[in-house]
Amino acid sequence: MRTRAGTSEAGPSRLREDEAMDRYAAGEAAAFAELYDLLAPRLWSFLCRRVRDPDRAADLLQDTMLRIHRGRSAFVTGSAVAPWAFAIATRVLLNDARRSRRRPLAIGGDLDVLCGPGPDPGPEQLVASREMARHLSSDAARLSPGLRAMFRLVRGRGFTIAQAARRLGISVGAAKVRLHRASALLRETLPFGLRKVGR
Amino acid sequence: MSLPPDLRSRLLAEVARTASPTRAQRRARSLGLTGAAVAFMLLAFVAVGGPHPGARPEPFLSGISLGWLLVAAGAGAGVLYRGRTMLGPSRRRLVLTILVAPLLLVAWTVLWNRLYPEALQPWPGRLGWRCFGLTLLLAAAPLLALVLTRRASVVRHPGWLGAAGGIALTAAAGLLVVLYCPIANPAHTALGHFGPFLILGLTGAALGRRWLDVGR
Repeated sequence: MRTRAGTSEAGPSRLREDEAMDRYAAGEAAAFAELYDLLAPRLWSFLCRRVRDPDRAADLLQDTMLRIHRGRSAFVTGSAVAPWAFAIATRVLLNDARRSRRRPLAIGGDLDVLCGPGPDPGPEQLVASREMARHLSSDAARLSPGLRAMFRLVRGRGFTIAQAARRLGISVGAAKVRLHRASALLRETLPFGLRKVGR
Repeated sequence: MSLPPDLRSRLLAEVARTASPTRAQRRARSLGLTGAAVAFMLLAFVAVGGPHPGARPEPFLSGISLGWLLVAAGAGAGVLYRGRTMLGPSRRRLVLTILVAPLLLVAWTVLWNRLYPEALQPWPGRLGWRCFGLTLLLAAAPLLALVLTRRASVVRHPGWLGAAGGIALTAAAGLLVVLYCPIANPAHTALGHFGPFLILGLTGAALGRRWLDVGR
């Protein structure tokens, strides 16, 4: 029998999480802990699979659960909480990735950003990043001024392509082409073992 | 990898510190905001003079108003109806609302103008800026209320939802403007009655992306 939307084939734990969310939306504060116990393990494994970094996944999980808390009043009685929670987790993940891309990682010179190994890098990744920074800093000088300027703005200073295009007074399409060419040329100069990291 | 052991206690402490309205509180707040926005819209309409049929034939006025009313109601339903999902309407429905509502209204207006060509007489000096501004004024408060009432509810397509909301509310404000404005000639109608669709659609999209996007 179909008692709640989307739960006809789901187990009793899904039903329990929907009911816990329903009670929480109605104002029962204690239901949040129950909701956490039911939802967090699945959200955790979802986030861990994507970011592969437990600290970052923990931050994202906390952010997701806080947004569920803040948005509890939007919960519609009779709905399934899991798709909603995973939609929030996905948005939190995407926005975090967007912010990470924009954040310049100033290790050394302008080009060190390419070598940003991401949060909490392993020793191998760190060594590869430093190695790549060394190569790129010398190789970038060989790029034409237009390509170099584009590359430095986007990869070095965290500009979006549109912002860089405006700064250089060229179209977005031309900016994309320049960035692609600069990246491709620099990638070719890297030793083979570092190319994957440079992408 | 297992869940960090201290995360639960940290999170529960954070939740206890962070205020969040319950469903009943949100409903009351939404009703208050929506009521205030609609009241503002109607009061502003009355303040500028209310309905003004002018020399327009009665069937023309009734027919054209009915069309705006139906399209505004349909577009409103396209934006507001969400069934049992909390993720907001699908992108397809929102895009349809954004494209179809203004097109239907243009077609409807052209049809009635052809049936009653006497309403098309030009009005020197009335380019349409007054109607343009009035539509923006009437739709502004409800658009703000729409975005504020949907804030913190997670929607899949915040920008599209905001844009469709802007279009639906332009149609609603446009109904009042049609009742107010006796001018039906094409240049005036294009600027004063249909121009705001563009502005409010874009404004709604910007507000949606800013305030309805859960990750921001």
